[in-house]
Amino acid sequence: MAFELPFPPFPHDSRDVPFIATPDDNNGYTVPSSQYFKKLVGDKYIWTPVSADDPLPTSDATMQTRIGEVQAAPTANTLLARLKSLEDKIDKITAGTTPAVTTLSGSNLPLTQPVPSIKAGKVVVDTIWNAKTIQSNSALQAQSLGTTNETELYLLIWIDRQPWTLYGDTAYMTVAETRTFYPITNNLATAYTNSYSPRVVKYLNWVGVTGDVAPTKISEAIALPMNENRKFSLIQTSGEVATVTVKVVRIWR
Amino acid sequence: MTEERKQQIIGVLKGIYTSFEPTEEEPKLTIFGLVSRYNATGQNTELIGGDWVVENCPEPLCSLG
Repeated sequence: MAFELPFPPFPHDSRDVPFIATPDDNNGYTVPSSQYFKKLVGDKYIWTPVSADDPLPTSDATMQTRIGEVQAAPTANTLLARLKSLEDKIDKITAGTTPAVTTLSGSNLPLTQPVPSIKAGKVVVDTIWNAKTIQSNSALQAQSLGTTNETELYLLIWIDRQPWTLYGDTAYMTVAETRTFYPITNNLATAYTNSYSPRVVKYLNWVGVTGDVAPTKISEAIALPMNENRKFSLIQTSGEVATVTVKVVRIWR
Repeated sequence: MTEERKQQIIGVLKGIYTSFEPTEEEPKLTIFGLVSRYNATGQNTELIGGDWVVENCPEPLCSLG
């Protein structure tokens, strides 16, 4: 809504526009008389001419006041001052000067309970001996089982002559312990030629020489730990040439 | 091993392969079955095994599995 300036004491120019009669320092009338604004004086707004002491208030000026200054110490409570405060805090956290205090969610496990983990199960079958020929009453050279970090290892054995014996190495003996496999295969009087029915034994890592910790059932055998770089061998005493195939089944649970 | 002896062994193995008759326990001939039968002939003086068959024999002997 337009307003009307009070006629006196403002003089008017030839276009009937009021202007400030007071000259500036250059003795000129450089400030148009139309630039007035309402200035709060006391509890009243009074029309006030724009001047160096009373600049025309604009939105930009208000925003500038709120944003603050780009300098090392901006005016307190301005936007830039608060951003700088955040930057300073992050710098101190990164530098370790004032580490961030954090709280983890979750719950504590009892000492007796294992830490749950994702299981990546895997089964790999390798052929160790492929139809190897064994002379009568002789043993094959000790062969590495290639064990690494498997959970379990089984041997599948096909042999066309009998009797025969399976040996493994232990922590105390090199490839001379029959109790390294479960079930024990010692002078076994059975040949295994059926494609679907090999002799299956579980490698037991090493067991006590006295047999005190030897398993009596498969669940106990499975519970025994594995070890790396173990070997085995096989001897046949049939009096004839024998053929043997051995595959290993490696299981990671 | 001479080439002549090698061919002689391969000839015997081919004969075993040709005469193989599947059974319920042995539905197809494996390298184990092949070498086992060859050993049973008493001719395996070189003590060849499955690895030798894979390296020296033609198809289908070398890929019997």
